[in-house]
Amino acid sequence: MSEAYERSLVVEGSSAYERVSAAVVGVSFVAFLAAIGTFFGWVPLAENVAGFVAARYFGAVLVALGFAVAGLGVASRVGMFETAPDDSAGLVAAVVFGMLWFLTLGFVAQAVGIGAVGWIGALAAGVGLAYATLVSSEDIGSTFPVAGFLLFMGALFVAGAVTPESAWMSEAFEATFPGTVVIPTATIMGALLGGWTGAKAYAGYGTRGRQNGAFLLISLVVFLVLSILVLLLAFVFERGVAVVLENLIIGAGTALAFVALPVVLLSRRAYRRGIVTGTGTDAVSSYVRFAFLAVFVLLAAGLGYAFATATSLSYGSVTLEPTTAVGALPALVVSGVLLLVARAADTSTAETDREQLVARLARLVVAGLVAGALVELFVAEIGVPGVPFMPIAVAAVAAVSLVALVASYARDVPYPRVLPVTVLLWASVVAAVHVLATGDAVAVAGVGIVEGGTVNWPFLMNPSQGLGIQIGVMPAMFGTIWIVLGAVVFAVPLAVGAAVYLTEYAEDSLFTRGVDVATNGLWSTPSIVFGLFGLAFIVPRFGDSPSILASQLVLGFMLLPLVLITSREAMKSVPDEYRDASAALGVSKWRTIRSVVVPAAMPGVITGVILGVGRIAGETAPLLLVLNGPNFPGSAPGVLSSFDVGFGLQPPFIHVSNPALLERASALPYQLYAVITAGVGAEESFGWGTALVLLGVVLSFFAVSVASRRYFRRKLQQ
Amino acid sequence: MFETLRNPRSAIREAVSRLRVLAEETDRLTLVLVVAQAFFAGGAFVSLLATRSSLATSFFFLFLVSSGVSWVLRQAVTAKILTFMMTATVLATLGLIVVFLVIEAIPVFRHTGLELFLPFDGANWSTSAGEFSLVAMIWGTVLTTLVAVVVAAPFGIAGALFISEIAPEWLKSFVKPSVEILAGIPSIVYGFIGFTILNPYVGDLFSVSPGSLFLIGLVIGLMALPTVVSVAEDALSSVPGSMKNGSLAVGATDWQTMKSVTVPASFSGISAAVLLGVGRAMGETMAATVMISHTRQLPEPTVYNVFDSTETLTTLIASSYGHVTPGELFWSALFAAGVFLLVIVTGLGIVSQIIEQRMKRKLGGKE
Repeated sequence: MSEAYERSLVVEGSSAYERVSAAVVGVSFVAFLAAIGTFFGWVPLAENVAGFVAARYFGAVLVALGFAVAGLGVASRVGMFETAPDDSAGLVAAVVFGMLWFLTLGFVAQAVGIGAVGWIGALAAGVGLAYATLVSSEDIGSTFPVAGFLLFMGALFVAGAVTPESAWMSEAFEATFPGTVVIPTATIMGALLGGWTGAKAYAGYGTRGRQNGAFLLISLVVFLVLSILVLLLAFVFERGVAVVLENLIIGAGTALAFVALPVVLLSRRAYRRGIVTGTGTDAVSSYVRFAFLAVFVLLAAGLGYAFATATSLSYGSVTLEPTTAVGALPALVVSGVLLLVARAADTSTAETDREQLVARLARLVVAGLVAGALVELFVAEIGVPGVPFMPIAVAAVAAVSLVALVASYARDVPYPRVLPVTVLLWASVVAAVHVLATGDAVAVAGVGIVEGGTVNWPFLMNPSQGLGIQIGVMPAMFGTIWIVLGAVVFAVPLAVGAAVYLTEYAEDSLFTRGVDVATNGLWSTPSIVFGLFGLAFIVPRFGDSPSILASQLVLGFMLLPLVLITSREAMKSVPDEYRDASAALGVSKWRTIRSVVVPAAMPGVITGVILGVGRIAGETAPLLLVLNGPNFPGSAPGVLSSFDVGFGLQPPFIHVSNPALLERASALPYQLYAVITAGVGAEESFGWGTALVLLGVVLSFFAVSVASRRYFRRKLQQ
Repeated sequence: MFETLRNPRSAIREAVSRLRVLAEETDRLTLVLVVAQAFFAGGAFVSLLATRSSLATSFFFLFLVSSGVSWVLRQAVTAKILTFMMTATVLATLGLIVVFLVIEAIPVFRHTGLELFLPFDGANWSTSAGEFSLVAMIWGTVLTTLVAVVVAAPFGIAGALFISEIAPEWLKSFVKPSVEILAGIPSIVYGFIGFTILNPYVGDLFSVSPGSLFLIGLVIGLMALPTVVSVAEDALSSVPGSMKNGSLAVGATDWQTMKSVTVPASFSGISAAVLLGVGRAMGETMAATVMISHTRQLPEPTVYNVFDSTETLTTLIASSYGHVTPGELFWSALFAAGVFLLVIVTGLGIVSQIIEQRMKRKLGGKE
């Protein structure tokens, strides 16, 4: 009988061999996680579990893995199962196993006390083993060295030769290596090797086996790195969240405004595109979106309950007051965002004469309202004493547009549907500005917009020093805002201009190559070197002391290459067809750049700016040298209030100065450094809170830039 | 580039003649405006260099006015001139950094000589004895960077392989942004965790004093990791698909293709990524500053003891500022450390970039 009758070409289901090797991979993975868990104290190591020290269980698992791996090798060698091993386990495996055994035996010899002689013996053994791996068939060569290691280590742990209490003193390193480090480390090594071998065996050795093994190892590494990331963020969040949220009081009206924003955005999207769309990841993300929508709607319902019963809800130290008024600033933010969305969504055009009249009228009304708001903001309140003009105008406009909205739905007239919404939103923006400018509330029976007090967030609103207050990071936050703003104002025009020149005007020359080198050089220059440069060049020329201005310039110089590189990429990726089409219409080069290239490249530029801002907002090292403010400032820098414009006879005749910019200050990352250097003077919890706020600020910049890049890329592909 | 280098005189002559033609072709008003802008910008720059700030502001205002006028009258030419000046600032920035760091570093080099960088006898750091050798700091930087590279290089390359070759599309769209976000975590946050959690933990575990170079190297390696991943991933994905498909078509597995085609083809790009990672690790400041012990001596008992603590170049600068006044030798020594960092790290950055560009040109079939 020939073999063809015994073996089918296509094996259905998995063979016992595959099942055993999959089990080896699985057990290795669990052992790997458990060994890492011991470092965090999640998994016991030195404690007794069911009568034995936990370390012995690790040993037992290693021994079991060792037998299984050896069994896999033997079973393949004697031909019990069909595998396709190569003639040799390969150079990589040989080197890895040789090193492994050299180090293992060397350390054992060191521990036993035969030092130098032992290391020479270990070297010989390692080289011999590497050679043996190289010349033996793959199924033996890649399993036996691993099985030997697993069995050896496992036996040491099971027998109690190595316990969590044992310790080895190294003279060369003046450090002690305890069993609590050695046992998990050996387990991690063993688990990685066991998993690798198991994965190879699963695919029947050979080229496919190696691919399986390599992919497993690489995926494991990536998994490890990502879990470190998640752990790090979760850890900072867990430590900091209580501090940051301590004594937060938020009015239900303001909370509702913030909850309404995502509800409107998500439901609009769901309404337009359907709740579940696409396949694969798109479907998953649409489910996620739907879940978020549900959560926000539930939150809104909870807030409604708070209104209805007039009870204040509290969770931990966070309190939700049942006030129905919305703060002016939150109202401004929310209606501003909604206005942007409405404008983007507005695709309708006025067609008939009547529609055009309505549109023109609406534009006129909005312009009038905005002009009034500006007058109130910069000049004075409009109206006779006792009768404020703006709230009445706003209320009238809002009422008319509400009626128009309802009417357009009732009569099913398609045109002006977005228009009344836009006007309504403008009205609320103007109302918020009125409240901010005058301080008087615009509210009827408690519902409306008030000046403030609807959010009381001590950690973000209090100074870092003061008697009898809960200290916060407000000065540092304002410091960061001013510094980042200044850096953006300084660097972004320069970078975008340079990008325009390099992509549109310049030909390949010595100059452009020099600029290329300089850009890359600046990109990789360490931040502390920028700080030194600021100290040597900028500080003596601008006020002769560390200051906000110096920090703005230094961080601006750091931002320059980041924005330049991304802007250049963005402009390069604008298709030449655009330029050609514009040129074919007889448009001059500069007009083409201004109205075709730059607008097309804008998304990329903005993404780059946000990414760069995220990077410099967390930068600390240069600030040590050029900002160097007080450790715990009692007030924020008053940049806005100390602008001083004067006219004089001396050139340049117009003198603009701002003493606040020339003062030292703090910034969020600098504040965190101050907590560390202040030592016992500072509470560690304050540091965790600061770290969380800093992470929140920086990571939201990154998240926004990643999201915007994806959005624009997807839009380009459409 | 090489043509211009071969015969500089004729190149200059050519440039001058081209300029003359340009001057003859443009009308007089444009010429005046352009010259005025260039003159005022140059004046502002020179008076800034000479620390005459009021003069610099005057020149700057004049520059703004002349650009404004010129923008109204001759927009296209002004745009070209202004963007050219903006490009020149990039070049000027690097030039200024180099010049000002070197100027400040000269006094200590005169005082100490080559012992500043080289481990001769008596190459110590002792401010009271007036000895300012950076050998211990350089060695500290070398040790931490070595540990960091041992972490960042293999993990980074594995991550890059995973993202560009192994991961399915949905996983890739999740892992890649995550790695970018990892790059965004500010170094002081790592430092804070290292200072409050890791330093005591590792000190306890190995019975060593806090701030061991080993631990700092680990943390710095983790921070350099995203740089290595993204640059190496860039290199891997710039390998043309036709090369990979050719390999797959003759029956090679994915892994064989990766091992024998993709990685060798992008080898120079991957090594550029590692070089860049080395630069990042060397230049990293805050995490190391808050964790290290700031003893400015070589590690003991052996110089290779990564469980001891010392000082690195960056931490020296970050921790000493505030204790020094301008003009002291100590002040100058900080700038010497800065020059050392600038030369090595910026140099590494430039070299790795050149390697990467050359590789891309080659794979693009242009060389």
